[in-house]
Amino acid sequence: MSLKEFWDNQAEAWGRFARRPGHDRYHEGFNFPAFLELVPPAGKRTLDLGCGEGRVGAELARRGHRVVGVDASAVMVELARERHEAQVADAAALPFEDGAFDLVVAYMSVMNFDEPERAIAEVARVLEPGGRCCTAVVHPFDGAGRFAGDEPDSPFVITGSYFEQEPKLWRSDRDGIEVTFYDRALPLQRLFDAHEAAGLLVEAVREPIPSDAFIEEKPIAVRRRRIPLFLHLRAVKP
Amino acid sequence: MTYNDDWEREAPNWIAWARSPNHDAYWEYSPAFFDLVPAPGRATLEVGCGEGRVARDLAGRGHRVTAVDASPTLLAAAEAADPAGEYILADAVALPFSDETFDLAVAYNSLMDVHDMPGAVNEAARVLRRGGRFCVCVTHPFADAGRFEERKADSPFVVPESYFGRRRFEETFDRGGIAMTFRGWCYPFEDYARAFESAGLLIEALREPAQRDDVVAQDPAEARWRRLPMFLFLRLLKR
Repeated sequence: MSLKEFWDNQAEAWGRFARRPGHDRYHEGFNFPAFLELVPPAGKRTLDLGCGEGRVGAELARRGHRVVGVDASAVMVELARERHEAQVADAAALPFEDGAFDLVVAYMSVMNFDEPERAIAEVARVLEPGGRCCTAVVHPFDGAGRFAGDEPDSPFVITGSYFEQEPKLWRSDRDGIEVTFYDRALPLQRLFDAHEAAGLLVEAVREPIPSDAFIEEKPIAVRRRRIPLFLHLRAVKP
Repeated sequence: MTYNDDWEREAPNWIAWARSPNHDAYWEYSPAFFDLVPAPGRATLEVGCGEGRVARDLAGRGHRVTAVDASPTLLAAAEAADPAGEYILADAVALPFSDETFDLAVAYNSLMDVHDMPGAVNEAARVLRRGGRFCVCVTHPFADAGRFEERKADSPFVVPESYFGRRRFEETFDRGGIAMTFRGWCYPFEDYARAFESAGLLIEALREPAQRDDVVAQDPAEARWRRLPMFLFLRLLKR
């Protein structure tokens, strides 16, 4: 099964997962606020690549961005359309003209594409010169290993290979919402090679750590001050 | 200027260590690093040259090299080994050059050893002309966060504490009758990236070289470095 089919199959469950307030706290309280710090102010037109049900585009629209979302899943796009413009499209073949956007955001989507390199090449094509691409992914150091226990100070251990990472399949089943995650992190070089091949230059890198308020709410997240969970990049098209 | 006492103390050990063929990872990884280095231009700067092996290798590839180091003993050794080369005693955070003097700067395993890493990055950027490149090798921030439990191909790599923060390292290796103590600091990737960002440097290329097949064939335990990168290479562009 391709990753596209994998996500399409659980699009409705994902919509409920992402839209229930307080359900995805790692997004609301940790990952997304840090990501927004890296996103430039609204310009002419913003592409949300892998928009899902639209929660990222909705916030950007609230901040003045003219958002166009794309997703490979028709169900996701239908949900996203409740919040902003969106269309079904393959990230590896975007239905836009060269230079159509001055900003692309790809929030927790690139590692779920079947062909991340082709997607980033397409991002570069649809960006105008001087445009930016902001990406959030699962951090590849986290993807390479696991905590040996459930304590805040449990060692983090890599038994396999950082270079050839096994995807981590895990299921969230809370409040009657069941979603399976297929977390595949890309090694740094694979991400940066894709940018290099596309002619994008990386101008900012962030490895966000959770705030005190977030740790108070989710005490186990304190270990994310030891081992990064997310990686954020901002690249510019020269 | 500030001498680098960590390296001045170790200078005799380092000269012996660095000049013994195949004694350390430089011999295995430096060819891949040089693949990332642009062709020679008008003037190349090496920051933290030590006894001079990187400067000599760059010169061998046609670069016109000016090399600096903050250890007088190491600098004298570099000069003695290459009397035609230009070697200057200088602190990486206060380079004695005008703005935009060089079209290429190289820092091979030296940014971890300077007391002010962001200051050194900023200085390298200052002396580069626009469109110039800064090529960097550092010990990989992921590898710096922990260690392999054993010197075996499939040994688990364990991070007992934290990847984050500026952490001091000091470790002595005794190999082939040469004892060498390495001292410096480890940083998460973001710390290096923020230094590049504030110096106006963009990441144009990044490499995580895996240990070479021919080295693993000779020493199977080296295969652990095909599971985790030991070094991080970067090529940066000054806007």
